[in-house]
Amino acid sequence: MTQQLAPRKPRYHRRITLATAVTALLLSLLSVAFSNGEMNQDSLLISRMHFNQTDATLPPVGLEEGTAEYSLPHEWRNGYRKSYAGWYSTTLTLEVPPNRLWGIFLPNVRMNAAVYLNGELLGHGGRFEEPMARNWTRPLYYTIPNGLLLPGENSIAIRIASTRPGKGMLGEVYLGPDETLNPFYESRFFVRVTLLQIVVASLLVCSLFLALMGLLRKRETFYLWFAAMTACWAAFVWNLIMVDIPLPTRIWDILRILAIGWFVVCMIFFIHRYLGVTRPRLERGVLTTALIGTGLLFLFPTPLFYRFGLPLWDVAAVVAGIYPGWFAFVNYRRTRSRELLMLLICGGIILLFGLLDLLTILDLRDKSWGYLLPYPAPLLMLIVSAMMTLRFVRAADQAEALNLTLEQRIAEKGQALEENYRRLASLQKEQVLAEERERIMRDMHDGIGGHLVTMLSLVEHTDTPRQRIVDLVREALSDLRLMIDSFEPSDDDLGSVLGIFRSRLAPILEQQQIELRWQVADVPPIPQLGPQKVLHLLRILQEATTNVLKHAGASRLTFSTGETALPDGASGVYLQVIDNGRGIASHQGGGHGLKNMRRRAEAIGAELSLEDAEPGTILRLTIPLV
Amino acid sequence: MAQTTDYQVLLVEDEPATRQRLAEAVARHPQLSIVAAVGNVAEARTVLARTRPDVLLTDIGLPDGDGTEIIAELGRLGYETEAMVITVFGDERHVIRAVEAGATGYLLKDDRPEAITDAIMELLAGGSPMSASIARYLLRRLQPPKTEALESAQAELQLSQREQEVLRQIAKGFSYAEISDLLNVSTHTVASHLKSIYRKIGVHSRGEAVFEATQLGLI
Repeated sequence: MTQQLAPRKPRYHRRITLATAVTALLLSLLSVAFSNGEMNQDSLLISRMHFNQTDATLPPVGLEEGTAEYSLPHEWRNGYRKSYAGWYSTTLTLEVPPNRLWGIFLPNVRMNAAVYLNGELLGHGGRFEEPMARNWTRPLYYTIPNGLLLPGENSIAIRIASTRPGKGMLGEVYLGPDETLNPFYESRFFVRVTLLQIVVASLLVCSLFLALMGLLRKRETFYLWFAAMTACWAAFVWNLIMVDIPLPTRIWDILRILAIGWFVVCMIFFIHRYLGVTRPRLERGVLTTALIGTGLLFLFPTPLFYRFGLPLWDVAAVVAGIYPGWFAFVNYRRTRSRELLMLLICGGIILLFGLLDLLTILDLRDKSWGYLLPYPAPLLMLIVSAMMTLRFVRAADQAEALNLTLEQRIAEKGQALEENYRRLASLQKEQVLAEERERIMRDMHDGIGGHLVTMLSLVEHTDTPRQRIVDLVREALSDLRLMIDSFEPSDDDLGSVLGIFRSRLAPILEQQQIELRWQVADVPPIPQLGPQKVLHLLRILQEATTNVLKHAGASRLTFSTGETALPDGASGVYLQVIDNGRGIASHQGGGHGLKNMRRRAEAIGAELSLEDAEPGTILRLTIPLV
Repeated sequence: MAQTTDYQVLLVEDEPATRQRLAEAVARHPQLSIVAAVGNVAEARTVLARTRPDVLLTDIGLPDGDGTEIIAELGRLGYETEAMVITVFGDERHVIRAVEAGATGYLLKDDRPEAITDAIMELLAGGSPMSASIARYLLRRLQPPKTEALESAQAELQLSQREQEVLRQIAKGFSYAEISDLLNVSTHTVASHLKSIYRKIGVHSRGEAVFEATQLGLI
């Protein structure tokens, strides 16, 4: 079975590689499709504006004090004591005002903007009061009502407000016909908002699916950790597209970066579980650090939080994120597992995007690009989900294969057993046959053979009395009958054996006018009372009877059976042959008779005893019931 | 001996010495006479065609067939002839086969002449001699079946409790007189139980005994 599985293995990996390639291709196509295309000639790019950092809520009139001119996009990062907001302003001179609908397009603002034209509010990105509306990724676009643009000078004023002091940004500002700007805005919106909404939704579905998998497969906890990772990522991306937040900005910002930090924590736990390594001390350390850090984020005073807490946490998260990547890398070098390679590629992409975003967060990179980390999410999710599904499928396949192998092995084992059993049975049969043959040969030799030899020698002497020969022939015949009787199934019943013996005995006793008393009681079955034992038993009875008939001069013969206890306490059965003749001497006088009987008794595991009955003798055979 | 009734005996035995010995033993009895002493099945059939003997004594293994065929022939002819088989060993296989063919007992070839005639006379007097081995065989047939063949055999052999009890005692070697003492019944009752047992086996067996015996692995 394993041979069948082996060639299938690479196919899974080919599928993963294919999926990765296809997804990467799709992503690059998307990014090309939605990249900042060339704007039409008929729209205007405002490239420079005056800026005055002020908390004023109304557009400036003329150039106020502290105003300076900057080229766009422009960010201010000038300390933490200054205002949250400021005004950008410029004048636009038109010879002829447009005769169709125009609009103003702001692809990047940080965080909120309100746009005024000639003192009139065109629109804004949400509430300016705490908690302020957040336009992390959302492009803003407002149409200009007809007649508002005047021939000659028009004043444009844009209020930008940030969620934290001393930090804000205004990206490019486009002014132009609605039919030009609107599609541009729409495609931007799709990439920066709709696409991220899809990402969040797919991440949540993924997370739920994996969590369910983790709950169902309790032994593979890495599913649960990956589900948590995915949920963190979803939270982080969701933060980017959330405009109106339900919590104070400070709390929201904490939660936002917690998502990043805990994503890394989950990643460490995941990679450990996934690779099946246990590093409890490291995990405890990571967990403790993360928990303390989380607590501190809440305890920091707001300015300190924004100044130190937030960047420190982010840096720590990215640095900690290197560990699982490095760990996977080391493992990959050892195992060359394609699965790990896939994970590494994904991790590398995350790391790259994360580093770029870190540069943005640390104000080392132009903010106009926005955050990139959300975008590789679907790719990674797809790959990892596929990997996990395949891992599951493979496990199921292996289980099936194992089952099949097991069944096959059981069948083989069964066959081998049967074969063994058959061989054993045939061996046993052969052995039984051999034993039986051996026994019959021995019996023939001892019995009929001996009789025939004796008869032959007697017949050769012509002076032998006829009656002597007749007796011998009868003896030989009756011995042969004993042998034949011993072949009858005994059913382990002593009574049956005695019954058959009596059929043979009765005519002889009748002829000699000896009274027969039959006191055969029911006794428990004697285990394994086979032909050999039966023959021994019959021969003992025959011998005993012959002795009585020949030497005892008895007038009565009694056969009795019953249950008895053996000297060692075990239960047994006794069989007595009682005569009223001359006593023990008549038996012992029988020459080999008694010795033969004892030998036979021993052969069937029975005890033979003789005892004086005065008058007569009791021959007692005790057979154990084992 | 005041009886004047003369019973006709047909003897079938292929071994001449034994045939002569048995024939002499029977002929010596005042109430028995040999109607024919033949050596094979064909001759026996010829005799049966012209006469109806009271007793058939037959060997089982004959040169041209089987003694049980002659017993079956009796049934076919509607004769109420009592049949006994003659065997060397009186072993169960042979005796049971004969009993199932309709015989009511067996004689040993080396039985003394008096024993032979005694047995015949007992048979004619309505006694049904049964040996321990026959009883034991019947008892085994009454036991819970171990094979389907036995089951069908047992199904039709329905003996009463008393009959079974009698069989058990016979298997243990008890004589009819002893059994009548043990069971507190007259010897006559024991004899009638035995007769009934034989009838049940006979009714069941006559036609299918050979088949049945083959099924049971007796032949």
